Amino acid sequence: MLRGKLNPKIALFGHKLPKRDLDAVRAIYEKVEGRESRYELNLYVTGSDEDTETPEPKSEAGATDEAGAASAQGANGATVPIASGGAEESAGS
Amino acid sequence: MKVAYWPGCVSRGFTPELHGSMAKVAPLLDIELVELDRACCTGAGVIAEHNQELADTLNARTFALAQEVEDAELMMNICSTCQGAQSECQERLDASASYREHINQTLAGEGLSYERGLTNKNFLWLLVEEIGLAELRSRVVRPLAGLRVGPFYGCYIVRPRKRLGIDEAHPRDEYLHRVIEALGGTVIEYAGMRKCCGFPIITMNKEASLKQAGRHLGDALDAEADCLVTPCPLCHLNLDLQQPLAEDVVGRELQMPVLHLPQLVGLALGLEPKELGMGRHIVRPTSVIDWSTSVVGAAA
Repeated sequence: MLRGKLNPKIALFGHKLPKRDLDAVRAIYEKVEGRESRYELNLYVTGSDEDTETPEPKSEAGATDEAGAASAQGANGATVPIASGGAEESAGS
Repeated sequence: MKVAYWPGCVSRGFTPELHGSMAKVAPLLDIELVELDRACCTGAGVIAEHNQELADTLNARTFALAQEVEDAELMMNICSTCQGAQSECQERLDASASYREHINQTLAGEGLSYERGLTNKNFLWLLVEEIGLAELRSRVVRPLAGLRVGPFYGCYIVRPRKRLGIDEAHPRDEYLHRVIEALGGTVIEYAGMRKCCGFPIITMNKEASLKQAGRHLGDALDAEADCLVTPCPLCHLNLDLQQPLAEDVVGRELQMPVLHLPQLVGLALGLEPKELGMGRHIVRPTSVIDWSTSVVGAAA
């Protein structure tokens, strides 16, 4: 702290978000944490990025849309569809 | 080039010299930083382990804010851990339209929506892929001649390779080597340069964490590096802030300066160590490296 290595205020309390943004983030926490069951997209189950071409994109992450329906996995590990007929975008979108 | 700039929490609170040096270096590279000061922490992978949807929603919000920055060519971060956490979330968001729609429903209240295909690059990647090594080399006014620099990549920017876009066309796990050379320095390879710094386990097993850090620092010392450079502020915390404790654990004196990537670039672009916040390091580079005979001397 003597060398100014740490900013104790920011280190302890974090970067101060404007109030409306703090409220928005808090609302996200409350909404998502308040769900009875959790949605988790398991790419190992859906296998989306193994059998399709990487889009030319803009995206550097390299993940591509899959052809089949996406699925979500609940906290208990059960996989349930989160959308029916999940037609995914084509490469390059 | 104009970028939506994500500094991350650690660079603001724990390593302000990183945030500050990036601000000094950006104009020298014609980078216009538009800071995403409305965005929250990435969760650093911890929130994703607790609740994946929550982490994905928070990061989708950041991505959506970045996409709202007018004329920004891409989003840029200066934290490898942020890059890793954000890439993980983006991989899922980009993989499924229905999942993305589900996440965007939560953001709709703010009028935000993440559209697939954001480019999010660490400063290291941007240096090589957007600015280019030839251009970077042409801007060097103080070559790092005689400076023996050990690259320390850390985990999050090199693993998993596919998610991070590392392939033959983008050998991102070699970029630190190339940048050091472009700045006129000498690359010093050592065993731990792509291994974990130990930071992620420090609250769980402090001794093992410090042993990891101490071993990497010792390896670099044995290879006769003058300093290390890292694109990750969390690695910096374990390698610099914790270095005195790491010395105790491994039982040897280390005194190895660890520079943030923008600091190393800034030195070569003509900025002074003090301007780059090097006096804030626990192991001060100025006390270990004789700047009068290395980079500072070369500029005179």
